[in-house]
Amino acid sequence: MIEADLPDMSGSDLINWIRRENKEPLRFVPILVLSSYTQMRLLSATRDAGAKLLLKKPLSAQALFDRLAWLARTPRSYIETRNYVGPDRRFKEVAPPDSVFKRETDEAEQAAKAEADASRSAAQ
Amino acid sequence: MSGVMKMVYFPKIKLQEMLLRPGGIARDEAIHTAIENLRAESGESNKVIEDAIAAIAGIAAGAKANMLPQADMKAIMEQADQIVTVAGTFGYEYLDRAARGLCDITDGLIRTGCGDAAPIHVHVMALRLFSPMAAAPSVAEAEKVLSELASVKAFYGFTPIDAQVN
Repeated sequence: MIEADLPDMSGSDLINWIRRENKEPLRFVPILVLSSYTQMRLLSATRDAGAKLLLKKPLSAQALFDRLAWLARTPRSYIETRNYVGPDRRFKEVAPPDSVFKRETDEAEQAAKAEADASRSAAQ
Repeated sequence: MSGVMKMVYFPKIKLQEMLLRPGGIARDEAIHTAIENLRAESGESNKVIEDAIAAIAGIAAGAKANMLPQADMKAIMEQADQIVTVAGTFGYEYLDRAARGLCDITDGLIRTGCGDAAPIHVHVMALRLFSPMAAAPSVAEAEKVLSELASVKAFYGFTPIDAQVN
């Protein structure tokens, strides 16, 4: 857990150094960045440096606990490219493509969708 | 092929292993203890706020021809930032808003290379008024002071720091 700005260097510089350090597991340690009000514009730099989570101060005990628990419960792969070393930032949950339903329990929903499509075409 | 090398790793997280370990305390208990510990620090937080306001006032008092150098502006912004953090943590709403206003003003003054000390003096007076050690102003009084601070910011045409972040 680090500040977005440190006395001797910026948080993004520190994260960059950690992420490019060859000794695991330090290299892939989850880094949570705390930002005060005036440090908010540093957040995009710390994210691009490979921070795992960014939090804006002031912070409640509940918010901090829940974010830490989320970090622990949500394993994410780490990516290394020429320009970026850090957690995979793509964790957007998307629906199955083209409304494809996969489970038996989806049948009712699928039937309802087919019925709605049929009534829409009839109306046209 | 683009020729861009990409490696993917799936490291084990110690925090995850610790979470799966049996024992420990429940979430609500942990949070309750943390809040209690935080409340115990509230006396110290008032001192931090008082010291920060005094530090800002001291720097502003050293202005020559009502102008401050950039280094002093940065020092003021650091102190004001600390007030925002502490005031937000302990729920001093008016102090939080006044300190944010001071951060916005000093940030704008630094960005534009302007060394005006007058808006700093005005904000110091507001910070003293909203300090947890001072008598609590009424809502109307507080809003009046905060609207005056907003007009100072509008005079300079500075935008809040959080509005500049995308």
